[in-house]
Amino acid sequence: MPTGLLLSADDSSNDDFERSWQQIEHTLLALLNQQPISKREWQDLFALTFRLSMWYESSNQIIVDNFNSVINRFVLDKKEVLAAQSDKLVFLQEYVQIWETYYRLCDYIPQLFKRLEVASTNKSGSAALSVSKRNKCQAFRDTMLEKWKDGLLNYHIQRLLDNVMELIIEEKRNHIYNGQLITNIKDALVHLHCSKDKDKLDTYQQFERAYMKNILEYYKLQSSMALDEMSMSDYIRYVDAKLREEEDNCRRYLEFSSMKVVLESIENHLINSRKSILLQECFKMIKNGNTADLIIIFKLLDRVNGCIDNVLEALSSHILESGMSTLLTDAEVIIWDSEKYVDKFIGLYEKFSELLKGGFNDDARFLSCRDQAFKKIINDRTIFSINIPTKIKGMGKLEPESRCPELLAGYCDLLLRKTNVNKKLTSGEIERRLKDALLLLKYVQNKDVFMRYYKVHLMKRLLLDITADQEMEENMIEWLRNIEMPVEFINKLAKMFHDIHISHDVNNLFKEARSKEASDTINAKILSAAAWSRGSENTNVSLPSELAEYIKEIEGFYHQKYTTRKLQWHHLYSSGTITFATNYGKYDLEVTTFQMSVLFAWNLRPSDEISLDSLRIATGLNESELRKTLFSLTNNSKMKYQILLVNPSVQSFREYTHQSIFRINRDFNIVKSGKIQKRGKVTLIGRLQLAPEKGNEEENKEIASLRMLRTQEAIIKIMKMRKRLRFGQLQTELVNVLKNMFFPQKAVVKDQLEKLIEENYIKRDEQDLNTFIYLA
Amino acid sequence: MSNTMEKRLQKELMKLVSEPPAGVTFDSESADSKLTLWKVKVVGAKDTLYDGESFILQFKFTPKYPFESPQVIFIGPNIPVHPHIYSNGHICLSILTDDWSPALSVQAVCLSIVSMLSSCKKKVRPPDNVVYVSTCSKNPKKTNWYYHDDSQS
Amino acid sequence: MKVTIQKWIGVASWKWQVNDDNCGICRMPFDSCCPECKLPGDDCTIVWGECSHCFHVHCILKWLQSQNYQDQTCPMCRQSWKFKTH
Repeated sequence: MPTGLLLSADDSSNDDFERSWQQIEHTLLALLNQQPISKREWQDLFALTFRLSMWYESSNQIIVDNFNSVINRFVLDKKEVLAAQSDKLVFLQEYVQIWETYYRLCDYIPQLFKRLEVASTNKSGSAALSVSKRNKCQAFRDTMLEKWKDGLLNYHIQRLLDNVMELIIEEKRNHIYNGQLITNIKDALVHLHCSKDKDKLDTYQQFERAYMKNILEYYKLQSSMALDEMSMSDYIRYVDAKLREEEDNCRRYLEFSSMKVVLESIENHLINSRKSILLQECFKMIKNGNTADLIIIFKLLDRVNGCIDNVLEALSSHILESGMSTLLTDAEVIIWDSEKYVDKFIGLYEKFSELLKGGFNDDARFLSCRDQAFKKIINDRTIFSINIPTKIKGMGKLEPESRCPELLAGYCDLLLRKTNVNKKLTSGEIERRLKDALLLLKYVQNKDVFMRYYKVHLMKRLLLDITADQEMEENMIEWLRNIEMPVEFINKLAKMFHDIHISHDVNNLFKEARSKEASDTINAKILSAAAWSRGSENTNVSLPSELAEYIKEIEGFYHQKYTTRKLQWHHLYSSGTITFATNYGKYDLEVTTFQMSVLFAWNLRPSDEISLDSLRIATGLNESELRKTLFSLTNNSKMKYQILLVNPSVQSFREYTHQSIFRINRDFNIVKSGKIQKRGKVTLIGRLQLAPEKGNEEENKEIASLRMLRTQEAIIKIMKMRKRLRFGQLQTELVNVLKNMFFPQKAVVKDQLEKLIEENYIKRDEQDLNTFIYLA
Repeated sequence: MSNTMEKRLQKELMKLVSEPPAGVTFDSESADSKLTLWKVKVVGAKDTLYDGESFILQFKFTPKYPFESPQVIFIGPNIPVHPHIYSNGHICLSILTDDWSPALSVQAVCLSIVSMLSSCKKKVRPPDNVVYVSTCSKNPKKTNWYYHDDSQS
Repeated sequence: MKVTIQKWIGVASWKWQVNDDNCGICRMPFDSCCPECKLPGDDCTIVWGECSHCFHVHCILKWLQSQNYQDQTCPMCRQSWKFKTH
């Protein structure tokens, strides 16, 4: 301890104190003014300050006061220096330069006083002892920064900000870059804060405010000009570019904390304040499919809250509109032609998918918007509907539904059956089209209708041997499985294939075992009744005697092989090829067994004219089947010459009367490129058996009863789990459970609930009739 | 629970409710939700010792039904006094254990019991009633029955 | 002029030729399958005993398994059970 320095306080030492301080002050000023000082001088400072602090009891306070006045004088001096600088750029440069030196010294100079017990930090006695050295330095540092702010910056701040903002705008306007200087000024303002400042960025915030104000003013002018001068397509690119540029600028010239608010206010100005123009423009682009511009405007609008909702709405109504107008303009064709129907919709789908990809980057919000809109179009019932009853017995209220699933099933059939459509396409093309149909199927609400019709079609393809490509058929089953069609349905289809394979094997055994003649002519499909689940059709028909013989032969064979089984024939599904000889040649006709039976009526009396009644007796067909069969032979729209002639002629099978007289057309022939052919093959099976009849009541009734069953099952399943539910919640869960099959209509659900209540599976809550309780 | 048991019991229940045989009445509500416990009312036939009396039979089914017989006992205050029926409700009837066949049913069992009652000539408890009732298991199927020959009783 | 048949595809379905409509064990119709199966037909077939009673194969097998090997009987007539071979 240099005890010699500890002097008592008397007058002579007063001078000494004064002298010593002056030495300190001298060195301090030299430091501040960046004059060189030696290591020695720096070290002496420590010793001197320490000595002075021991001088009197009050010497610490004197030191603080003296220090303040030195800093004060220095800062005011620099203020004048800066004030004298008239050049804007030099002013800024000088400010930065003076500040940076000063700021560095703010870290060093306070070190000198770290032993000092400063009054300001020493107010509460013993606590002062624990005040760290760092905190003592902090007080001196704070003094330096405060003096700077109060004495210098507050005087120059406006000029400083004005000048730097000018630089920033200059950069945009004239591409004169002073990036480093701007950043330095920003940093100078950020760093200027005391330890005790609550808001450390207080000074910087003036910079931020000025920045925002100037930028907005700049863009107000610029963007209006741009909007006047540029096309919309250029304007959105301009805005896009500017926003990206400003993002970069913010990153450079602002603190991270202010980026968001500044960018938002720029976006707000450039986008939100012009929202209605931009939205209008965006709607136009959607209509015109202008994806190149859309992707840009989408990015812009997506920056501002709430804008996208407007775009989604516009997109949705656009899809609906164009979908509906496609439906309506081509209604006549689409209604009956599943090929055109699928083509149109796939066309639409692809168009919108491209729009979404190109214009909206396949944004999930837009994809789901498209899906919603598509669901609406596909399930729309304006132009075509089928009637599925909601009740079976009694009044049978009809609830129309979109015919779409039926058409889709028809389209699949067209592709999978041996048809002209199928013949023209490669298997790759067929696959693609089938997948198109499946794509649309995904949007179908009532998939059970599709399933029903698909199954009927498949059955007919398999039974009439008109499947075009077995492999494709089986692939299709897998694809249906992949889009999550109900498993039971898929299994049923698979079972049909399985059963057909078995019947094929049985038929081969029969061929090996039986007469040559029979085996060449006959192909017996013997199926397990249960797998096809339709056994009860009226199949009464008198068969030509040869067929009756064959049937006996088959039955004999089968009974020998399977003694415990009996056979039932389904002539509605059987068919064959016959030779038909006329005055012009011999033709092969593919006919149904019913048609065959009708034509055989003439075999013994080829020139006779036969009445409807006689034909009914001869064929054993019921009246309605007979009429339909006759109509397919007298009024086949695909043929130039009909097989049968009827007098008087008719337009519909209902018009035949008991006076109608039928005879064989002995002049029947086939004309190909203007020439009469002596041989040829014609199929008469056509629509008669292949397509389920339009609005087939039986099919729809079965769909309806299946729905009721499924609804009951689902209600029980849900109630078993939940025990207690309000109607609304139950309905929601039902929709979810049944979504792969159909949409449960309220009327159906209510009916089934009543039934279940009657059967004591559930009951109504006595307090709240809308709540149902599961009865365990 | 096995499908076979569930489906078969449902069928039996429907049939018993819709076309009950004479002397047997069944309220489907008395069965529990899983259909494993039924209570069937049987009435003594006219001109027999039990004319006008009614009794409750309880059926308990295991998941192995119908491959395993149901557990059948009389319950309630009125247990028929009969040489093959113990006072705790247990019944000595071979088709309930050794002679069970899956072709039998609730209805067949009920009819057997009604006919067993009808053919009774003297209302007495089985001779070993006191000993049996105090020693037997709750489940009559655990008893090794020695079947009385009806002609002797 | 005469019509002659070249080819014919006949469609028939088979059913079990049984005296009873339902299986005596599970009470399900023979036309459908036993309660443990999903699809009727060849996978859930019907078998006959020498006593001429028939059951779903799955049903009778379960019954036989639940009995002692020596006294396996027909559920309908209690005669000892032997599979009828055709």
